[in-house]
Amino acid sequence: MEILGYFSNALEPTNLLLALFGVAVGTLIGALPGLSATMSLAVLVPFTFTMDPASGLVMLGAIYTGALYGGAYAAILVNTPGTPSAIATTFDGFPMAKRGDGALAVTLATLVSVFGGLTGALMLLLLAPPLARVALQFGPAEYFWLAILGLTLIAALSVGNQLKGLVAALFGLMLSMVGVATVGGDLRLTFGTNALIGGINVVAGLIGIYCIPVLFDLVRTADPHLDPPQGSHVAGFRLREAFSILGRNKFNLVRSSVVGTLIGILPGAGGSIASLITYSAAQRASKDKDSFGKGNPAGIIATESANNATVGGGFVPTLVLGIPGTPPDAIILGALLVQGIKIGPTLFTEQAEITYTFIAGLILATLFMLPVGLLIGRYAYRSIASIPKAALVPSIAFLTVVGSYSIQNNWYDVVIMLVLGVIAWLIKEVGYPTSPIALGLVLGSIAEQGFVQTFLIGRAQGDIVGRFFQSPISLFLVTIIVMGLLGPALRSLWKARRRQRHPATEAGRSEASK
Amino acid sequence: MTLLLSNFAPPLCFIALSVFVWTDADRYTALGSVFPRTMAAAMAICSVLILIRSAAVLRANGRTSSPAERGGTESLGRPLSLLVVFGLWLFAMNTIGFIVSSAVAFVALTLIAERETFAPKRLLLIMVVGIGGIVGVAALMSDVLMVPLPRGILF
Repeated sequence: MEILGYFSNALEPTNLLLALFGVAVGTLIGALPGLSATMSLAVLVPFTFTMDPASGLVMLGAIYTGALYGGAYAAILVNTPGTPSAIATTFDGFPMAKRGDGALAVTLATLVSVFGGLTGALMLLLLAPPLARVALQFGPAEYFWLAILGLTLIAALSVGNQLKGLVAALFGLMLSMVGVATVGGDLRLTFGTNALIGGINVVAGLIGIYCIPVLFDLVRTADPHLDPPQGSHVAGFRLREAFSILGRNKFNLVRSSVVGTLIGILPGAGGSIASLITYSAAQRASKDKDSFGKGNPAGIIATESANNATVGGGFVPTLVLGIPGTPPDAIILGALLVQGIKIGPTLFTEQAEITYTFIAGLILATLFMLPVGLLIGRYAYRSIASIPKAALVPSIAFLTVVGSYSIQNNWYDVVIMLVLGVIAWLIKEVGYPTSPIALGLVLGSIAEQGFVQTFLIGRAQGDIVGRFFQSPISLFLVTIIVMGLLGPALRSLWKARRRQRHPATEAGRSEASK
Repeated sequence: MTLLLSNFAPPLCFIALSVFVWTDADRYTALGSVFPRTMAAAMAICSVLILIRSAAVLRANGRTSSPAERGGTESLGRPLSLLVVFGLWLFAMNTIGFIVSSAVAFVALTLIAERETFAPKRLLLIMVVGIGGIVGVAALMSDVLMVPLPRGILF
């Protein structure tokens, strides 16, 4: 009952307006590659210092949740993830937009983002202290395997090209090694230039890897970027169709939201791993596995619900343990500290008013995503589809330059973005997937830190290999990794043997499936 | 020749990269080198496996399909022009200034991307709106978001 009282604080007109403003700004920022939630939060944090603490936090939470959702727009409409969390959304989002279902894809992304965001926020509200203990079970070895799980899952998703996917992921890991070493402080792969000492900025790298190949493809062919079919059946929000698809994918939706929240709890893991794990789970559970990557709505349902669920999950260690899981969490944590709020398990009792108002604001902001997202989405798809290439190409190019420059006000980031983009394009041209490179770059530091720390502990204990496989969580993750890598090969082997043994039955089955 | 190149050149490049990373790790401390070496070894092994598989497919089928071949035979002229404009843009950004270089690059990229019949009015409209957008974004960056853009000798 007391909690409901705190919720009424969040419903004050000022807080409602701030939440609405935050979601709208966050969505637009997230939709533009290079302009991240971290940047917008960092810019707006000082303004919140003069506000009432609860109002300021409501606005920051709204920007964060809106930005994470906004990443889906660029992923679906331009094949470029606005945020790292939206990498997996490109797999099915862009093919859907390409075939004329962009409005449906955006509506689905909006609905499931709201569902995922609410799941994460409700779990934060009801289960924060016990969930925080889960995060403490993850040591260096578990983090290493979690990062490797993300990389192997994306490699395994490269159908028929698993080895190429693995090599691409390893290439991404090597890119993440450039600069000062995470552990040890060595200068690595800098080729004697000062520009590389700081390493390759993840966002600049992502812009290059995704945007530059898109630009090359746009100018290379005369085909339209998107080709929306004409007619009333494809116009509007397509809400009825979206709800019907959600009805068929309800288990996928709930599973992805819960898994997204749980992964969000792990500091550093974030939306990129969550969306990949849930995407892979959705593909495995689906009867129509081959349609994934070709515009299956279930892919968007899995990734978008999971990455928005990580917002609530990420606040669990931030609020209970004072360990921010992501850079935006760290900024919000800083804002909380500036407001004089003491972080820790007692936050939910001693400073319940601000904490619960903040969570209520997060829930409100998530609900605001529905009208804001549907409204923006309705026009975004048509607008992007109607923009001629002669305007789209220079506009995307300009955004890539501004986006990569503004991260650190560094010209070298733009150069690195372009170089990585050209490399990604060449690699794509010779049949290697580029998403594993991006994920390798994102997860590289987590993987290396976990690996080296486990190596050090193992060496001190005299059992390096054992240390990597000691805990049940590590063994569980390793089992999933092995299954992910060997699963497709074993499945096709099993199918081939079955075909040899029962050729007539198998032929009948394949006919029936057609 | 193209088929051989697209199937064998990438894994060979990755093997060369892993050898480079492995040898470069000689300069690092034990802590700094353990991860690069492990990943370099993994990359070399995977690349060798790709080579073996490509050779086996080549032997079995007599030829392998090249992704470039599958993708059609569109000209590379426009992508290369785009790359040149991008390179010049980045170079000019620091020398003549962000706004001017971006405006010039915008015009050049518009012309590269234009596929339809030459329509001066339409192109002019795109350029005017685009350049207006560039000035707007530059103002937003430098005055609101406090991101100082390169000024150069012009602006």
